[in-house]
Amino acid sequence: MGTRIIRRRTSNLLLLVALVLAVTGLILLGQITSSAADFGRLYQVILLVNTVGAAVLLILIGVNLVRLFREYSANEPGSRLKARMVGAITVLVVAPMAVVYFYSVQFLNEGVDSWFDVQVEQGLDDALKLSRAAIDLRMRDNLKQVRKVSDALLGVSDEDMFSYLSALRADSDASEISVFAGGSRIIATSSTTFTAEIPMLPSEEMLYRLRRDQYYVGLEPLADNAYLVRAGALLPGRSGREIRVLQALFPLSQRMGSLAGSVQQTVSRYSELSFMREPIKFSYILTLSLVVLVSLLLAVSGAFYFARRMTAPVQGLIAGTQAVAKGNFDTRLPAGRQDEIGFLVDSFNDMIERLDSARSEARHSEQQVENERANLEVILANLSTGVIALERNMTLRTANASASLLLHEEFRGHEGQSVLRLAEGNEVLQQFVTVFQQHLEKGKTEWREQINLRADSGSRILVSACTELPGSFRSPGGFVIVFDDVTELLQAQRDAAWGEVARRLAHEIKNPLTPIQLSAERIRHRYLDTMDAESAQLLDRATATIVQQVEAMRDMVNAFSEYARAPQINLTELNINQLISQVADLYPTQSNQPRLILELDGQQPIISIDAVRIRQVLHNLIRNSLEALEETPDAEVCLSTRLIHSADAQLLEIAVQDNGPGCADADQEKVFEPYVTTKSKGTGLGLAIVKKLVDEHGGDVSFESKLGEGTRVTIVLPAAVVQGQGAGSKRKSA
Amino acid sequence: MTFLSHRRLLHRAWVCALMLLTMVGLPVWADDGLFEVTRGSLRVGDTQYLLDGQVDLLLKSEATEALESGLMLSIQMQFEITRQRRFWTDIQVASISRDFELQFNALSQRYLVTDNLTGEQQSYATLFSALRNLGRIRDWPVLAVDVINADANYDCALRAVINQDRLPGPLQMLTFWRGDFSLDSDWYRWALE
Repeated sequence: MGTRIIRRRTSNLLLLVALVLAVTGLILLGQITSSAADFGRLYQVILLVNTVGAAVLLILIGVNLVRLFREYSANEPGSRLKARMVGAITVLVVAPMAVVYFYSVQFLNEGVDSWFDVQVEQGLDDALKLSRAAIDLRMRDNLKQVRKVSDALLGVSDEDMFSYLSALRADSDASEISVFAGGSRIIATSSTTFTAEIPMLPSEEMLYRLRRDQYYVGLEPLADNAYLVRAGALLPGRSGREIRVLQALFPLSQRMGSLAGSVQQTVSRYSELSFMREPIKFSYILTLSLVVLVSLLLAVSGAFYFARRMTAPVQGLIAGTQAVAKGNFDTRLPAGRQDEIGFLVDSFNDMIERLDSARSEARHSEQQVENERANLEVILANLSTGVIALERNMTLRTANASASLLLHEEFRGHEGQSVLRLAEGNEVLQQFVTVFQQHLEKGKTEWREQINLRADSGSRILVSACTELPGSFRSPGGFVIVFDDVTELLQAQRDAAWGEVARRLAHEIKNPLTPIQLSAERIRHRYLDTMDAESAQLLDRATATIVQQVEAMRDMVNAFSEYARAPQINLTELNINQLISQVADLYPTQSNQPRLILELDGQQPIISIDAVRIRQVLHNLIRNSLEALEETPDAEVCLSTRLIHSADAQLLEIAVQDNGPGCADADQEKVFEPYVTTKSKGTGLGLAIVKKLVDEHGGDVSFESKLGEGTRVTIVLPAAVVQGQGAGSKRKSA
Repeated sequence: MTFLSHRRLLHRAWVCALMLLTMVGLPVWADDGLFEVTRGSLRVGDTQYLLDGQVDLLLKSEATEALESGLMLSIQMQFEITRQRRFWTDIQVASISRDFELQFNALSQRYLVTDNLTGEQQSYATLFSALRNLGRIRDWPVLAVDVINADANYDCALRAVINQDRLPGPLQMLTFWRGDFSLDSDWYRWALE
C-alpha cells in the first residue's frame, strides 16, 4: 500500500516537473523565436529544458503504458476502463492536434512563401539597376572630369601642382583631388574643406586597377547612407620616377545618396528576407513541431493521470464490491472527494455500513433462532410427549424421539418423506394417520382427541392435539400434532379407583361378616336341637350356607383388602429360576391334573425382587391357568424365563403359558382390571393383583390369548444383576 | 481552399519527419569553409600590449550566399592570455574580443568591413580582399602593460569565429541544427616573451 502511494506520488511529481519544464521551455522557445537577442545563449538551455521535459514525459508514458498493459493482462478491475479512457483521450487529443499540425505546417509554408512576390523582387531589382544606372552616369561624368584634370596636369611640376589642383577642383564637382606618388605619398591635395586632415589614400584595389586600365572609377558606400564616387587616373610619368596617381572624390548628393541608400537597404532587406525564407520556415516548423510534440506528450501523460484519477475510485469501488461479495464487510473506501464519485463512495460506505449492521443483526437473530431451535430440540428430544410437525402435503417436517417411540416408527432421517408412505406396514402409525386424515377431510385443522391405538403388544391410548403452524405467503404452514400416552395414567387412575372401591368394600363389608357368621352359628347351636328333624335339617343347611357364604365373602373381602393394601416391597436378590421351581413344586403332578413344564433360562438370572410378592404373582398365574385348563385334555402349563439383552438394559421375561381355551379379544383389554374374569368363579382380582405387584417391581405384564389356542401372560422385570451359570435353557417338567 | 498534390504532401510529411528526427539527432557540420590563425604576436606599445596577427578566412558557401543576400556576418577575433601557475591550474589574466561586421552592398557591389572597436569602415570590391584585410590584425591593444608580471610565464591564444549571436534567430536555430554558419578556427597559442 505504501509502495503504491510512493509510486503514485513520484509519478505525479514527475508529471509536474515535466509539465513545468515543458511549459517553461515552450514559452521561452516562443519568445526567442521572435527575438534573436539572446538566442545563442538561451537556445541550447531551452532546447535542453524541452528535451528533458519531453524525455520525462516519454518515460512517464512508457511506465504508465507498461503498467496499464500489466493490469490489462492481469484483468485487474478498472484496467479496461482506464485503457478505454486513455485511448479515447489520446485519440481525441492526437487527432485534432495532428490535423492542426498538418494544416499549420502547410499554412506556414504557404504563408512564408506568400511574403515573396516575383514581381516585387523584379521591381526591386529594377529599382536597384535604375539607381545603379543613374549613379553610373554620374560616375562616367566624374571620370570624364578626372580625365580632364589628368590632361591638364600634364607637364605640371610638383611645386605647381597644388595651385593647379585647386583651380581644377573648383571647376569640377570633386570634393577632394589629390595626387599621390607611389600610391601613398601625397604630392598635392585640394579639398573643399579647409581642414588639416590627411586626404583619403588610394586603395590597393584602385592602384591595381589603375596599373591595369590607366583609369578607375568606383562607388564606395560610406556611413549613414552616404556614397562616394572615387575616380582616379594614372598620370603619365617620367622615366625613372615613381608613378603618380590622381584621385578625385565625388560625394553623391544627399538626396541621391538617400534615395540610392533607401533602394539599397530595401533590396538588401528583401534579399535577406528571401534568403531567410527556408530558415524561417525551418525555425517555425521546428518550434511548432516541438510544441506539438510536447503538447501531445503532455496530453497523453495527462490522459494517464486523469484516467488514473477517474478510475482509482471506480477501482476502489470494484475492489470494495468484490470484498463485500466475499463477505468482508470491514471494507471502507477513502472518502473526501466532493464530486459525484465522492458521493458514490460515500453511498457505498454507507451501504456497506448498513449491510454490516444488518448482517450483524441477522447473525445475532440467526444465533438466537439457532439457540432457540437447539433448546427446542433438546426439549422436544427429552419430552415424553410425542411431537410431529407435518407439511400441508403430509410430508414429515420433524418429529421427536417420543413420537418415534409412541408410534413405533423411527422418524429420524425421514424428514421430507410422506407420512402416508411411512405408515405403510406400521399398523400403529397407520391408525394415527387415519385419524389425522379424517379430521383433515372434515376441514378441521385444530382438534383434540383421545386416540386408541391397537397393537400386538396391547392398546395404547394417546391424547392428541393438532394445531396449524403459522406460515407465510411463500411457505404455507403445516401442522403440528402433539400426543401423549395416557395409557398408564388411565390405568393408574382406574387402579386407584378400584383400590378405593376395594378398601371401602373391605371396610364396609368385612365388619358385619363376623356378626352374621356368629349369629348364624348361634341360631344353629340354639335351635338345632329344638327342632324337628326336617326343620333341623333346613336350619342346618341354611346356617351352613350362611357360614359358607360369609367365609366366601370374607375371602373376597380379604382379596379386596390385599389389592387395596399399600405397597410394601421388600427387595432381595435371588435366583428367579429357583423361586419358580419352588412354586412349581407346590403343584404336585397328578394324572388328571395339567402338567407343569419349566423352561428356565440357563444363565440363572438373579434379580432384585420381593420374593413373597413374586411368589404370589406366580401362584395367581398358575392357578388361573390350572382353573382354565380344568376341562382341557392333555393340558399343560409352561413356566419360562428368558434374559433379554437390550441396548440399555437387561430384562428378565417370565412367561406363564397354557394351552387352554383362551379368551376373546374383547376380553383381553381389561383382563388386568379388577372384577374382570372369564371364569365362573373367582373374585376377578387375580390378574389385577398380578399387574399391581409387577408394577410395584417396575416391570410390565402383558396378556395374550387366542380362542382355542391358549393364553400367555408375560412379565418383564428389570434384571439388574445377572449371574451367568452356563448357556442354554433348561427344560424341566414339574 | 488549395489542396496539395499527394506528392507534395508526401514531401511535406518527409520534411516534417526529418525535422523531428533532426531535433534529437546530432548537428550535421558542413565541411567547406576555413578559419585559421596563421600568426599571432604581442608587442609592447606605449602603455599596452598590441596584438598583431594574421587569420586566413574562408567562408562556407552558405555564409557567402547569405552575405550576398544582404545578411550581415559578424566575425569575432578572440584573444586570451593566461598566466601559468606552478602546482596549480593556469589562471586567465585577460580575455578580449573584437567584432568585425562584414556586409555586402548591392548598389555598389562592394563588401563592407566595419571594425566595431574603432568604428572604421572599409569597402572592398571582392570578398577575398575584404576577408584578407579583415584577417590582418594590426596594433590591437589587448592588455595593459602593467598587468604582466615579468617573472611569470604567460600563454597567449588567438582565434577567429563567426559570432552567431549576431545572426537572426531563425538562422541561429538552423545553424544549431545544421551548422551552416558555424565556423571557428582553432586556438593559435604562443608564449608571451
